[in-house]
Amino acid sequence: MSAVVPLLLPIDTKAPSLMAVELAAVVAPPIADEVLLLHVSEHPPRLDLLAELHALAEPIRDTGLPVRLRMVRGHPGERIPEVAVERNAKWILMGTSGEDFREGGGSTTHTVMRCSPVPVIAVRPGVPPARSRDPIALVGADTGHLARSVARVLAESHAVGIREFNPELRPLDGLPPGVSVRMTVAPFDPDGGMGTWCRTLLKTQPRPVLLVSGGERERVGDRAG
Amino acid sequence: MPVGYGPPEHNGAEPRGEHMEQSAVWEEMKSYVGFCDQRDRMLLHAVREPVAAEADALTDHFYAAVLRFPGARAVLANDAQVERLKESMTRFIEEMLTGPWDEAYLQKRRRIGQVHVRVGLPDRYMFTAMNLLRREICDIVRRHYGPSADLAWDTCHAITRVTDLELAVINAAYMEAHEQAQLRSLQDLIVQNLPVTVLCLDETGLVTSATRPSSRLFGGMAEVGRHYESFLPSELIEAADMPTAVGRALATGREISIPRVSLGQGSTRRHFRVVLVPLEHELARLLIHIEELTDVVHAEARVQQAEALARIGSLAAHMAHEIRNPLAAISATLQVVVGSLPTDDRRKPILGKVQGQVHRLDRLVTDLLGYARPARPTLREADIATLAREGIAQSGVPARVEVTDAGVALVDPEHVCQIMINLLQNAHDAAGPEGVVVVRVGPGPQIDILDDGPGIPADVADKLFEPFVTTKTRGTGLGLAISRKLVQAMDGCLDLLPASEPWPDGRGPGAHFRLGLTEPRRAEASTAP
Repeated sequence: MSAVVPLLLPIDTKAPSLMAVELAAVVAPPIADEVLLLHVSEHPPRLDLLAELHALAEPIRDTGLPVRLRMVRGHPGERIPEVAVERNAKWILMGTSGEDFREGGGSTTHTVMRCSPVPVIAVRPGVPPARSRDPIALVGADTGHLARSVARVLAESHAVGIREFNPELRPLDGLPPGVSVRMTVAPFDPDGGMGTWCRTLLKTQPRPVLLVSGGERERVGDRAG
Repeated sequence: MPVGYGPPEHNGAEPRGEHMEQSAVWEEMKSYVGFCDQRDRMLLHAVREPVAAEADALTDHFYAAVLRFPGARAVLANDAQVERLKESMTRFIEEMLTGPWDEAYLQKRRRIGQVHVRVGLPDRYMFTAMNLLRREICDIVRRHYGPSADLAWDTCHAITRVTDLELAVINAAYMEAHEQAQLRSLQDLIVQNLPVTVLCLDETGLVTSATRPSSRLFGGMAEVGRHYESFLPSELIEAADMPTAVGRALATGREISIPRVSLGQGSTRRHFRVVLVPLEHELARLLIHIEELTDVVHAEARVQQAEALARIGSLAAHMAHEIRNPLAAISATLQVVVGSLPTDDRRKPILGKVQGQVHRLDRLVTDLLGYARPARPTLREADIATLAREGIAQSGVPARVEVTDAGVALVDPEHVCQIMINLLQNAHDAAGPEGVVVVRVGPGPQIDILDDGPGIPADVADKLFEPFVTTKTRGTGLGLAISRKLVQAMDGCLDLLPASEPWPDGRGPGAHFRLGLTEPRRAEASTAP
């Protein structure tokens, strides 16, 4: 019998977490067997919070994936990577306001991305797409095949295409004018400093932005193989 | 007696019957203090203006007097509150002097009484304050009419009657609160002593109520005010997936039952059923019922094992019967053949080996029949230390005996000896010729057999008492199965205990078996109808 592959979904009741839940309903089914909804707090859990988190996870349960709730004490930036290891999670998916990625930032999401031994998808909410057929934007995929995988799952789920942008070939000052996308996916290397174009994306893109960190790095040129 | 002074319904309306009863009681109270609506109305109305003219001074004087008492000061938060109370008191006096002293008046006074109870004002201050108020108003009346005027005298009587009514109503509120507190205390007492493990949690997860067994179930105290995570074992929370279950119960409003939660390993494994019931109450959002099923699970396992063993035993007995007759023929023939050979015949040792194997088969058949035969013990009271020594003597195994507070047990002595022989021979085989076997008798009706051998491998321990399971190369694997069967027929138990620390002399630990027997009194109780 193969081991259960969990996706760890750290959550609170703020807007970025709600976006992360919505995204988990799309991303989790092809990559995980269950979703571990994790709430980290310095305080013991209130019962009404448990009920609220259970209700929030409804879109994920609707996909047929089992959802389990875990309440852990401590600091989120430290405990989330630890729980990922304890629970043998293969992915972490979490919401972010984007504040973390500003220059000099470094709170929860950034800490998790730096410390996590498993890939992390951080989603910053945004406005819904202008058109239902808008593609998924994949920015700088030459440096991370996980971002490409995530983009592919999203594209298949929404039945749309992927449009690639390479900021190394053409400096990125936001996506080109007139380009309308559903959401933007980009690799993010927390050890390589704050990518200028990641911060640019967060600043300029009104649609949701997903930053993907961790996993094996793919060298430029390997992709053809 | 505050009959008919129960709290009003939530919608403000009261059942007609209760309304009538309250109305009747109110009229009875007025009659009792001699309050006459017509006469007293006239007298009280007449002093309304002079009293109102001195209301500020009256309330100042009143609160100055009241605030001298520390108990009264304790419930009055600050000057602003006192000023608000003075205004309320002015209205209170106005209403007292103008009426009408009807049902609505009664209800209003009841509410005032309930507020005084709720803020925790001791009733003695209420009585004192009402007397003070009466004196203050009567002083105004006397100044108004002249101290010796008949009208002053009659009016003061009317004021006494109406303040008596006020006191009666407020006193009823205190009595009612006292009765409710007693009732709550009784309910708490009943809940605490229910023989079930039940906890109630508020919305923050703190225990608001717990039965006494809840405090004993996991060793920690399920004290009111503690968070459930601080005393429920984290292993239980994890195994029962409590956060998920609690979230589901509260979000859906449905009862969630977790039929089996198992904690621990091996012989210390415990089993529980957990039920979560969402509640809609200010003090209780969730009820947790935890039922220990360890005994039930063990009993089920024993029944299943007994059924399986019975099937094996039946099959084994059938085969033993089939084998025994040809085996007897072979054995007899061998004896004849060996006896007919010359003493120095070279074939004799070979035939001796064949005889040895035939004897081994015969022993197996005997054991099989012994295992299959129903164990029907003849029970009597016997000293277990004596039985242990007899068992040691019959086994021929050199064992060290330690006796501590051993008593008598209700047993079949022959069965106990047979079990002792099996266990001691196993222990001796495991420990080897240089090894040590220890027999501990007591405390109570139990006998422990320990050896300093290599112990029982973990993969064998769980099925050690099943037939044909053995760690010996030449054993039949029936000794322990037969022993347990005999013990169970005596309502006792035979268990392999987990490996402990090495012995004080540095030896061991090897295998440690415990033979638990039944005390005579306990046996009688368990067989009583």
